[in-house]
Amino acid sequence: MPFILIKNNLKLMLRSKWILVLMTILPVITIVLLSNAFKDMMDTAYKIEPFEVGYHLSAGSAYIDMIPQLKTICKDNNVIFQEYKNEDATALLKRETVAVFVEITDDSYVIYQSDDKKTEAAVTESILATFFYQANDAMVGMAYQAQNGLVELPSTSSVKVNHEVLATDPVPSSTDYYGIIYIIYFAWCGMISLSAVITSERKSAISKRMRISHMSKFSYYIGKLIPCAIATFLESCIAWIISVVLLDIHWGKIWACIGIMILISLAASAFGMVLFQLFKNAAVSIVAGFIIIWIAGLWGGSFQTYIYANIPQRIVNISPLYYINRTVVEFSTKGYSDYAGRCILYLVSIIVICGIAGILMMDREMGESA
Amino acid sequence: MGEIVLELEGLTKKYENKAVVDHISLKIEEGEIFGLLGPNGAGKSTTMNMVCSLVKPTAGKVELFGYDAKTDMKKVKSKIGYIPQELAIHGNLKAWENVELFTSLYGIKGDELKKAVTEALEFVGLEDKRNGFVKNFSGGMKRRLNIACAIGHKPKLLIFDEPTVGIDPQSRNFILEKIKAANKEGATVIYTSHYMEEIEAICTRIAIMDNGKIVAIGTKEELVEMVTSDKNSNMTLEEVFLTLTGKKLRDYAEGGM
Repeated sequence: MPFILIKNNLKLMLRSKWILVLMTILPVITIVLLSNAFKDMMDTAYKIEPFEVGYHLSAGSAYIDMIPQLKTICKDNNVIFQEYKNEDATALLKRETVAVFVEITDDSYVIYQSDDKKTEAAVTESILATFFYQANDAMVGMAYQAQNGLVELPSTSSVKVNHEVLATDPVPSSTDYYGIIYIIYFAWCGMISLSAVITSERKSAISKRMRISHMSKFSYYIGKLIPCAIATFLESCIAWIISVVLLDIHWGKIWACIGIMILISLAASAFGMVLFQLFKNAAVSIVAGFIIIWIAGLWGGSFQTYIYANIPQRIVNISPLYYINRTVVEFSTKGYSDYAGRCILYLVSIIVICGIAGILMMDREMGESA
Repeated sequence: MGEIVLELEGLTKKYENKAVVDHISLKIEEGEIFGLLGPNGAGKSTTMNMVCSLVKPTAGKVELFGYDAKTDMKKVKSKIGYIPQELAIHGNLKAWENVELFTSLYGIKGDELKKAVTEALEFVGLEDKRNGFVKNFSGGMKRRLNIACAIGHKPKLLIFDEPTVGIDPQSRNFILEKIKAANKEGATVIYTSHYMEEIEAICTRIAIMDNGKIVAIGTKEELVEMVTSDKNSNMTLEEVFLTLTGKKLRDYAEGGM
């Protein structure tokens, strides 16, 4: 392992002031700008505040004894279930006194909704459907037992249904979402650190000196990859800490996130090495790299949230950033993510594929030597 | 006769069928300061690049310390110190960091590396500037550091490719003195330049190159004898050079105007 080469290349990368600013300050500015710009969009798209459902129960309804249970279940789902005996449903909806209105008869119910409260109506319908399905089932069972003399017909108040809370993915705040996404996005831009070394080498005859030395092509490759990954990780961590302290961004599963950031830093560096050797020009390589990362970010939820993407899911699935973004955001909101495996698989694949390509291309770069 | 350090046999390099180095053959012995003199475009740097395996020869053979450079270059790399015409140092590193970096490429580590760095910097007179950033150095200091980076691993053969281009007379004089000092300490030196007075001042043997060919080779006295039969002649190397290579401007000659 060429430790001295790694150490000195790392110094070159960390001494480049404009790269430091780009990697540590720009992410924080971007997070502030985007989290504020998309705050309203995130809230209207994903957040459902507690809402009120009005109901009217027909006289003599069999469900009258079950209403307290239904109210409790509604309360668990952030829904206020309020009786309106003599009010007109349409008027209540128009006045926005209630978000949804339910007319419960003896053996059925009707949901009234307005066009702008479809989500609330869907939530109400889901709660009521589950509740009445279980309630009816229980009543039929008791009636059957009573008919067969097994038990006396009990009152409807003894019917019990499961208290279920609707399973929904918790939604991050816009600050948390963009606070996480842009630390990841800028970590991918970490390949720019390579330019500090490669530009310095190409500006002078350093590559000649490298080629005449004992150093192998693999050491030459590792001597750039490892410091770039370390620089990217350190700079991303600085941006990460600044954003958490200043903007109160909530990350979940911190050690898992650190592991993912290390893999991102390695993948971004390996990817950068391929580009720098492919184009042989620092400016062209950086522009090409940023374009590719921008497209991957566009598909993967960096510019609009992955939850609410307008891009077809098949295209979204192509972007590695989608899996990484989703995993780390879900660590924050749920504490776990079903996407973590695919996220790690994608990152390791990028490191391996770009690593092999980078070393093979290093052969091409040094092909002139005898 | 000392050990043959470098032997070239019919060494040729062609670019698009144009020979920039054309069937060069020569031998350099241990302890020599061998000057390779020629006008711009004569093929001096290409020859040195082929010696260092930085450029593939089209034909011919390079032997270093008895090893074929084509097959056994790895065995002799640590014996060569190459000072390229261009500066090969990182501006954003300190002087000692540059020397440490390039010396470590030859597998030198730990205390031995620290000692080598200090000695190399002392040799070129930059020990007191070891913590200075190279980007703040003058041209002469950068040239001296360029040399320090090539001598840290104590090579037996030092190849200088026009090391004094664009520097002040004091720095030039310092570098020439140090080349002589390195030779006295046992290093064989190959020195390419188009500055006659430098070659004349330090070289024990000289080859004059023109249009990719060696047109004359020998000591200064032998070269003088080649162009005049007057044994009492006090011709300078420049006069010998112009006699052998002609007075035509190179760009006119090559451009065909």
